[in-house]
Amino acid sequence: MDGILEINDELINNYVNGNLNDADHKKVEKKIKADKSLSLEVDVHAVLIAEYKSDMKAFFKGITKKLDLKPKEFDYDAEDLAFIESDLLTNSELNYISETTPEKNIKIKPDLNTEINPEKKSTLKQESNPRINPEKKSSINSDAKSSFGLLKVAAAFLIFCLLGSVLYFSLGPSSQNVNQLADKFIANHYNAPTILRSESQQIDSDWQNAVKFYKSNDFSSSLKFTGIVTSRVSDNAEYNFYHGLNNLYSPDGSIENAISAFDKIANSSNLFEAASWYKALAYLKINKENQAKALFEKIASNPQSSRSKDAAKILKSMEGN
Amino acid sequence: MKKHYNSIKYSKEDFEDFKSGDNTALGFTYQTFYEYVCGILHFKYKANIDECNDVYGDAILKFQAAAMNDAVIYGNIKAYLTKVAVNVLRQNQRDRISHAKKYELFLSDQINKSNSYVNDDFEIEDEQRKKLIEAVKWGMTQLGELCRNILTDTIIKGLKPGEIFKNYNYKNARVLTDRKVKCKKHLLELVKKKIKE
Repeated sequence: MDGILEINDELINNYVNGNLNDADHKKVEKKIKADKSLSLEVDVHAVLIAEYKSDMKAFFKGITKKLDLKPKEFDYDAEDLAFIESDLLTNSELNYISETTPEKNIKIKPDLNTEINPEKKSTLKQESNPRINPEKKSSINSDAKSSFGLLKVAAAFLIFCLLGSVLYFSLGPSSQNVNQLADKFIANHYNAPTILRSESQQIDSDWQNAVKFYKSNDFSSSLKFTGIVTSRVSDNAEYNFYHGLNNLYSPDGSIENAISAFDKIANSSNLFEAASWYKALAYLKINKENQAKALFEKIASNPQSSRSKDAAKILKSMEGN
Repeated sequence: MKKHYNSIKYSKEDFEDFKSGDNTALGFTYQTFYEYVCGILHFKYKANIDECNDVYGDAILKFQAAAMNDAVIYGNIKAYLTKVAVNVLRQNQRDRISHAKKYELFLSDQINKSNSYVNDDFEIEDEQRKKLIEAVKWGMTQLGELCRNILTDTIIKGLKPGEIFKNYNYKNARVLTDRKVKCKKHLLELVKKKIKE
């Protein structure tokens, strides 16, 4: 990088993430000291990134705790170790990796400052044992290919499956696929809120507990606390929204209570659209397809909504049934 | 007996789901490589468990941003991820704490005062920090959903407009970049207003 630094979002992000070399870091620091509005801009970037990382780490912590994950000592592959222990990459290299190494199927993009040693690149190797979907595995049976008898059995099985599918889709619950889709969206948990001090210390402490448990994916415990805060303050959109989500996520929750909590969120609230989305998913869970459809149609028809495509996907799936 | 690294199973489909930004796939990727990557950080580089979790979390987020920016493709992910993690660990041990990290530590301290391994030499007063965080949070709530999403993708997640403009039904990256500039300007005005109150 030359002596003149162009301040843009990428440079600010690299600065706040500590990804600049010492010289550039000092240059940016000097500019920040001389420019109050730049200083605020940098702080806003830092807060936004920190909030996101803090939320994501809480999400990871929940997984680690739930699955009781612990570091394990593996029989490490020598090539992997050689690659890992090769010279320290610059942070820019960690962020910008490109230029394919075809035989190894990993892209490496050299940073403007630093070239990656091609010999180091060559230590990358193709994953030798990719995960195979067990369903796909079961459809491949090489022994059966060579045996006519087995072929007949397979043909009979296929006909049975085909008939079974026809019967299932004609007699079975019409919302099966839509429900699976709804489950998938519900399983994609909404990010936790950020805690800030409020006017009431007691509510603040209950809310803090609600958020703490929500962040660790303990929705049943979180539900108890969102129940307390919503019973005290009934018109707080954020409290009602997370109370609704806890009812949706927790095995102790009730779908009806989730809908009732989402209903309390005014359409002027910034959480209104997200609440409509989760309310529609909740309606699907209790097979109230007409109510769900009306909400999904509203979301799908709003081009500015980040969920419009997902809503359209669900509507299409509903039509298919 | 030590497990062999081949016991890690992660398919191209898993990677494609992860690359799409799906949170479930992010969680799956995290758990798949946790034992291996944290194993190296802990047993080989002597990082304690808190440090492993923190560093591995950072590595996964860096890896996700790189994947979503189409900068990495499916390959020997465990080695790549471990390299990213080891670099993050070395950087934490060697360098100054980054500006964002200081705020992250402050935020996590608000919920759980258990950050033990990094010395926080952050000198801004707590009240000032709280005020700024509150102003940013409030500012984000005042923006429309579109602006919030654009700022989340571009600033927070570090995704490049060229990779995501289609998600917003824009014709090209320039339209998204222009929109981002306006959204950010609006957010900064809101934050200034809130701080002055």
